[in-house]
Amino acid sequence: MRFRENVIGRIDPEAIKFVKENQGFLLPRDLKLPEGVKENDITEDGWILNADELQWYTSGSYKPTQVIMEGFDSNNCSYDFAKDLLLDGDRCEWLVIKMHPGQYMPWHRDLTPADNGCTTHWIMLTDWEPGHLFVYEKKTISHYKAGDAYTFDDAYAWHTGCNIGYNVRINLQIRTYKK
Amino acid sequence: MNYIGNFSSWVQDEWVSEILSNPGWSLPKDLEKDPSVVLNSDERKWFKAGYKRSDHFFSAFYKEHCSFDIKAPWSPQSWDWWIVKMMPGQFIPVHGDLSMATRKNAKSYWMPFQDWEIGHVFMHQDKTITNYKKGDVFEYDASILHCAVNISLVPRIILQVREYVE
Repeated sequence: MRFRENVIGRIDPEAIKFVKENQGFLLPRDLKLPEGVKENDITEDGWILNADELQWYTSGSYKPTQVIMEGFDSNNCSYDFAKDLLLDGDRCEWLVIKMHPGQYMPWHRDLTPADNGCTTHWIMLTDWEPGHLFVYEKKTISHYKAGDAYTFDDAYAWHTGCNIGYNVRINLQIRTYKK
Repeated sequence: MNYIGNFSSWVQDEWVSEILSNPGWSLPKDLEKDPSVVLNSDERKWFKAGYKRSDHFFSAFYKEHCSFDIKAPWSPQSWDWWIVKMMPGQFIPVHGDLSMATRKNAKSYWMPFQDWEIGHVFMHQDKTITNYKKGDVFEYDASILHCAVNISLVPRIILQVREYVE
């Protein structure tokens, strides 16, 4: 995980305001995962569960009807968060994650076999505060500022985010792909 | 966080089994059963932030919940103890143990009852602790903001000891 630069000046403040003031997809509940979903099954909305995510549910530790965070992408947000940002590849996907206090993402790796050649970037959209966790393998990132951008050394690395603080935590994930 | 030592042989498997198979005290939900409990200012902020008093953050086990007693081998002084069981998805929001910090000569210790698992997180100020082993003991300043979460697939069990130097 390496720090790249602060890109807050290249993100439309209205886009961040939109995320703060609106409700995103309620995840995973809105995925409406079918009973018996299997690794690499594609949901109605085009989401793919990888092996780590599948294990959250098959282990009984987490429930697909829970709400552990909110998500924004081009389907529910008209702002293009990836525009003008660090795009190391030829195409990209973006997802904004909003976590209210008490919300979290279980520990996982992101990718499916279809994601070969992917690079993952995390851009924080709110300042760090105690209780906001951003963990990449054994490294915890803290004291970050809104706009700080980080690139995963390994797109398949274990990582997590969590908000057990007092205020909302928002980050942007961008995956870039080479042709 | 100051590392004190490892006392893994002192941790009894029966304690872990008993904790895993019993409900303990549901926090903060069960606080309403004990009107003598006074929340400190950090804890009161939880509920302003959106956490609910009716939530089950984690289970706590005090002496009255256990068939065994704890006599911490590293601490000859008087002390209190409690055990925290966090199932996957459970947590304690950020807080400082402010009431405890006002007590002169009080020390806080933290001991995991199992080896570190990926997704078991204890954050003290801005640092997390990883790679610990069952029975490791750490002394920490409980007045500093800290929090914990279990975002793994297995339970997380921690012994907390508060020592009062006479």
